[in-house]
Amino acid sequence: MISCPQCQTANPAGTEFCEGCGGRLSAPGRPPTDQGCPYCGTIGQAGDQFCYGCGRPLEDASGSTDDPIAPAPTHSTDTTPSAGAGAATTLLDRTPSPTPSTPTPAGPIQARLLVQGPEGEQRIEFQGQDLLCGRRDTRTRVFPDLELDDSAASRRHLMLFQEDGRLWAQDLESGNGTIRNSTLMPPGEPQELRDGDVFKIGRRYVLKLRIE
Amino acid sequence: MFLITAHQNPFLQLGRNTMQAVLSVNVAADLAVGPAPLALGIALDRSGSMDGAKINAARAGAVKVVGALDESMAFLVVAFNDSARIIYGPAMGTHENKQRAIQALAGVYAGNGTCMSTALNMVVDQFGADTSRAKRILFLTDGKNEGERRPVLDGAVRRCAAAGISINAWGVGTDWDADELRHLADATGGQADIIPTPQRIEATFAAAFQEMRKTALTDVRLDLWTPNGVTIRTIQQVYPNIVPLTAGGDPANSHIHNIRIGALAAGDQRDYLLDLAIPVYAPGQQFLMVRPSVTYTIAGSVAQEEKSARSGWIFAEWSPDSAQAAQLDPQVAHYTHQEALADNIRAGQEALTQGDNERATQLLGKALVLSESTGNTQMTDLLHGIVTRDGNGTMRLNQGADAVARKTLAINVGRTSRLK
Repeated sequence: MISCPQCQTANPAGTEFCEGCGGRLSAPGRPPTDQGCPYCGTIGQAGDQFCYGCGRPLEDASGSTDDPIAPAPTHSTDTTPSAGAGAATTLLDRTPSPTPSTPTPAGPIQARLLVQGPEGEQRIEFQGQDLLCGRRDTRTRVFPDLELDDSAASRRHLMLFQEDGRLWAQDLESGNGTIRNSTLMPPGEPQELRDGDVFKIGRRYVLKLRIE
Repeated sequence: MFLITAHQNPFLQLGRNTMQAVLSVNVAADLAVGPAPLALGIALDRSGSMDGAKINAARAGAVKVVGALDESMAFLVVAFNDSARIIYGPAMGTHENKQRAIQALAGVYAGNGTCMSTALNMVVDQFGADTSRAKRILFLTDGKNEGERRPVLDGAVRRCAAAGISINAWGVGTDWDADELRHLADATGGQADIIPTPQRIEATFAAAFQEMRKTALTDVRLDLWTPNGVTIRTIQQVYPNIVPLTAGGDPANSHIHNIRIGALAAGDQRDYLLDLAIPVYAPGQQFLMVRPSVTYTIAGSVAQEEKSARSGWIFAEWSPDSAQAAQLDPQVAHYTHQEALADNIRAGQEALTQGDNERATQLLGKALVLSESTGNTQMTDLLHGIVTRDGNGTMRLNQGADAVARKTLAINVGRTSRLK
């Protein structure tokens, strides 16, 4: 059974839209099959590296730890956020959560994003500028800094930015969410970044952060 | 067998709790299903005003249709004035039965008043329980239903609708009430139109019967699944004509709302405009708001269900992009204009009846502009008979417009065109 994150209705495995509220339970454009995610039942597609219902690696269903993009153990202790499906935070609401943090000197922070996707690997130098990750859409004039060629990614999916001398990431209330270090990011709520953070977006992209 | 297509802009402004969509239901043109067996009731007005050429032509028209029946068809001939009388039937369309019916028709004479409900009730009594056939009434009158109160007629029409009997209502001459005949047709999934002169009854009946013979699917019903919190505020058929509908509930499943479509032939199309009240959700997630399916019966078989492909599903997704959310779907816009067109014609005709020529000119002129701009050529032609545009573009009432032109417009007031 799949529990709807919106209304908690229990739906049979393979259901694409919740029978209670109509909310999407599985990936857009993918026909229902009997091959659901072993963790949450979300319907996947052949070749998917991880489920984008719950974000867990599909190849790692047995619980093995040989996932090449698994986060370092030191980051697995992050506080688990609430799903916050009804969060009203908007793109402009960037107030970082009051997470205790070591003060960092002002000025640009040197960081690097290693992006693994269908095009292979690419490196993006990130110096604290706003960096929008999402799906390019000329019709609605969305031209992200990091373009994600993945129908499961939203047009405005994830924003990385610097504020108060620290680096932050904010899931822009994306349709299918962003997985940070195996945990679903709370929609619209900025989280402070750490060296080694790993983000999974859609079904094709993995972003690793290295802070100098 | 069916192709259902949803036309909509699924993107909604943040906080918006209503949406509109058009559902197009198409029957495959190459449907490999033979004609459904027919049960035909012929209901002829034999009130006093029909005396003379009209009753003679009505008899001739009925004889023409009876002669064209085949042995698979059941038929019933009824004539009505203050009360209804079975002229012949119910019987199968054998050679002997047809000859007897034609002989019986020769004895139909006109006299007394008009109580339409009596004829409709008689057909329901005879054919209502037959679930194996497409049931139709070929109804002819020349006047208003003056012998009984409107609720009595409405009750008989409801019985027809409940029994799945659709009415082809014809008004001969110009003394009938367009609203009454439209109601007979609209409430039962039938048609209504004018026969301007008695001489055209025979040919009109023959053509109408040929159309009825094409019926392939009966008891067609559109089922609409909606999730919790979604209400169908209004639903109306918007093609081929505008008919306000009420979605019935399914006692077995509170998520299902059904619309009776009636009988359909290969290639038929019905479009529906839905106005939904919906819950408000956070942006970024797609919601399924309506998932249609169709149930139907093919002759001699049990009812079958066909679920719509994704093309017929209605979605909603709240978007912070106000430009994206503001886009109006062309089909929704088209049928909204057709609705405005029908409203203007109705109000214009009412003003005309009340002698308010200035208001009638204004409303019917506006209707003409709308029909021209939306490509409704049939309504444009009809309106050109009532209003004209002079060299300066000023609308004027056509002083030469006769009663036939006005009545033809009145009975066709809700006729719509497809978006080209």
